[in-house]
Parts: sequence; structure tokens; C-alpha cells
Amino acid sequence: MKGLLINNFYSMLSNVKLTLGMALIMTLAPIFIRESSFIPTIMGVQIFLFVVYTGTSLQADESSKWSKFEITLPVKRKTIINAKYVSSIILIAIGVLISTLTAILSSITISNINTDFLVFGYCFGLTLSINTVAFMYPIILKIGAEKNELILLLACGFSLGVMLLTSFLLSLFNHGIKFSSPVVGITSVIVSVLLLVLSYFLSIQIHRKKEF
Amino acid sequence: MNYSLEIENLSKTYPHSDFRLDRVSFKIPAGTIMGFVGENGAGKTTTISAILNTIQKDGGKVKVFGQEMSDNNIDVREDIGVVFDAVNFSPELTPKKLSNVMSRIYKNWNQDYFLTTTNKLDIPLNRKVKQLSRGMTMKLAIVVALSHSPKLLILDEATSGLDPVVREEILDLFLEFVENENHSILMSSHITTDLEKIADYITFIHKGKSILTEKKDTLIYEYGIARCKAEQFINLDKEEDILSYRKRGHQVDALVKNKTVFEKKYGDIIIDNVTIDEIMLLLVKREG
Repeated sequence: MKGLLINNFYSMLSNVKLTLGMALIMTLAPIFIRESSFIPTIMGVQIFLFVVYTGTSLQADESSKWSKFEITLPVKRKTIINAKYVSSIILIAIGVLISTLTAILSSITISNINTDFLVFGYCFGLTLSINTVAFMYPIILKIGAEKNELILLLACGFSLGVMLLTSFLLSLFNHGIKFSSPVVGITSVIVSVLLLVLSYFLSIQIHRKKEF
Repeated sequence: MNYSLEIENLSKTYPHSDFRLDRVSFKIPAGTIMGFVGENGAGKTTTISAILNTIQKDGGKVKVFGQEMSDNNIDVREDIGVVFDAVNFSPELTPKKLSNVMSRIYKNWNQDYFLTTTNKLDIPLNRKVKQLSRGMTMKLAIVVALSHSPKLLILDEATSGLDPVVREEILDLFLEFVENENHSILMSSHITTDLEKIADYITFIHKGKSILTEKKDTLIYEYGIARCKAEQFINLDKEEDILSYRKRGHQVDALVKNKTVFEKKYGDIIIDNVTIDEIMLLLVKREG
């Protein structure tokens, strides 16, 4: 799997560099925007940025016919899917690390920052990015990467939907709960991880039957 | 006899398509090159895709070195080098990065061979794949396929679209590869002159069916084309003496399996030597 992971990162390198630059610039935002309510959005976007190119990467694999070629390599189809999901998880982890810089800078520049905002920032970014990956992989494997921008848009909507639904369901049990509450965020992340696991098994099934 | 590749009754149909691969069968003896010839849409790529499991076959058997090809059998894929008709690597990769990838995928990756051969073929190591010419990328694909010490090369139109100089370089690599008697090649190609240079056997495929497999030397030296006038053609024993025929104006070209025997029997009919192209035409465009 190591070779496939390296291949994925080499293929995405220019996009990852661009994303890294953008995310690092966003890290400086707390210096200029000294308003803590903006911080979760900045952190969320920083994490999400790293999965934006998932569809582009799959499209590049498809158009270069690497998707067909990699089946002829001495790896199982399941390993190919493993490499794709692990690559995305690593990218999300990089996003989390960068957003931690934002959290640290916020703590320094904004006095009395509410920790709940920071927790929500992580959860918002993780829910958005994990669900995007969970949504995009099986769909693109099934219908192809040609409409990856549209699929990305739908994936974002799906991710926000998961969070809104989680918030709504939790509000049935706790009337005072807010969308930006850490409970909503953490529950959304747990739901997203479960959806990612489901998406992984679905992708394996789709790839097993897919013809190239 | 040891076979590197055995294909038996390989079948494949597609939904919403009339095309079908219809019980394709042939075997490649170890140490030989099999040319795989057919018109566009005859089923060459489908056959190769079914061999490599990139599509799922409906029926039949594919054995590589005596083992059934399956997704789980990754060991057998260590011994197979594959080149499709286009570059299959990420355009962002350089040959050097590609070797980093492949060295972590193949157990027997030979970095020295990779470096020596890329150098010999003037492939720049630090230029991105998207910046390489088609000739360069195809040479790179072939070097990658050879650098993990495979025993079987499967090439789908690997020389198409290349100029004669590059093709010659590539054919030399293939000949070098089969110097080892355990190495074999399955090579589909439109450029039959390439196959005439290097193939030991030729399999013809037409409309999804394998219609003839024969030693290349037999095809070149024993087969022939009888140029018959209409009245001469009428008198031929069509069941016994010809494989197929095609009318060309007032003349009928008939494919003859053994030109020496035919000449003895029909001394007044002109017999020409035949090329793989002509055999293909006579098999594909046959009128009988």
C-alpha cells in the first residue's frame, strides 16, 4: 500500500502545496479578526480545504487511466481502496494540525476565547471533510469522476445536512441545544466516522465489480 | 511444453452492446512472442482486459504460469509487466518519482536496470510525464514494465503512434527480453510489420472470435496467396486447398495454407508470398 500512497501524494502534490499555502495564510486570520465567533469557520475551512481536491485527484487517475493500470499491479483491489481512504485521512490530519495553529494563535490574540468555539471549529471541519470523503468516493467510483465538481457540491450539502440533522435530533432530547454546541459537533463527528466506515465498505464492493 | 499464458474459451458480453468475446482460446509457450492481430473492435483489448482482470469475464479460463488469474493472486502479477496503448501514470509524476512508487509496489523492482535503461533510451528522469512526448512516455511505460523482472509482458498496442526509430528501439528491448527462455510476450498491434520482425506466433481475432493461431514462420513461408482468374477459381477444391478468398475485380485472391502443395496441384496459378496484413485482410474480408 505504501507505493500507492506515495503515488496518491505525488499526484496531488501541487494541489496540496497550494492548499497548504492557503491554509497557512488563514492561520494568521486571528491576528486581524479579533472576533472569536469567526474562529470555528476558519478552522473548519482549513480542514475542509485538504479534501477539496479528492475529486480532482480521482479524475486525474481516471483520465490518465491509472485506475485501470493499478489493477494490473501486484495489489488487491481492496488495497487500492485502502490507499485512497488512508490518503484522505492523512490529508484531514494535516488540516487538523494547521487548524491547531489557528486555535493556538486565537488563544494568544483573542482574550477570553471560548473553548467551545475551538471544539466546534474542529468538529465542523472534521464533519465537513469526513462526510465529503465518505460521500464522494463511492459515488465517483460508481458514476465516474467527470462531474466531480457537482459531486463535491452535493457532498458539502450532504455534510452540512448530517450536521443539521444531528443538531435537530439532539434538540429533540435537549431543547436548549444550539447548532454550535460541542455536543452537536462531537456527535456529528462520530456519525461522520460511522458514515466513512460505511462508505469504505461500499467503495470496496463497487470497486470489486467495476470494470476498467 | 510449458506455457506462460493459457486462455481457454474466454467469453465476455456487455449490456447494450452486440459485441461479444466468443470463446477465445490460445496458448503462449514459454520463451516466445505471440502477436495478437485483428481489426479495430475485433476484441483484442477486451481479451487483454479480461486476462488482466480489469474487466470481469463471463466464462472461460485464464492461466498465467499455470495459475488462475484472480484479484487475490497478487504473486502472479509480480511476474507480469503491462503496457497499454496510452500512458497510465499520473501526469504530475516524473520518471524518478514513478520509480519511487514502483519500487514500493514490486518486490523485485530493479532500480539499476531502470536507471540504466532510461539512460540508454534518453528518458529524462526529472521531467514530468505530462511534459514528455508520446514516444518518451511509451518508452517509459515499457521500461517500468521491464524493471520488476517480469516473466510475461502483456502489451496492448504499445507501439502504435510511434515513429519507426522509437519502434525499433522498443522492439530491440522486447527481443532482449525474450532472450531468456522463460520470458514471453503477448503483443497486440495494428502494425503487423513489427510482429513480422519479432513474433514467433500470431493469433488472429475477428468479431470476438480467435480464428487462427499459427507460427509466424509457417504463415510467412508456407502460406501464400493464389491470384486466380475467375475460371481458375471455379476449378479449385475450396474445401481442401484454400482457407478463404476475396474477389478483387476479375481476380480472386485465395489464401492457401501450403503454397508448395498448391503449386504442384495447380501449376498454372500464380502464388505470391503473403504478409500478416494480407492474411488478416483475407480472413476478415473473406467472401468464403
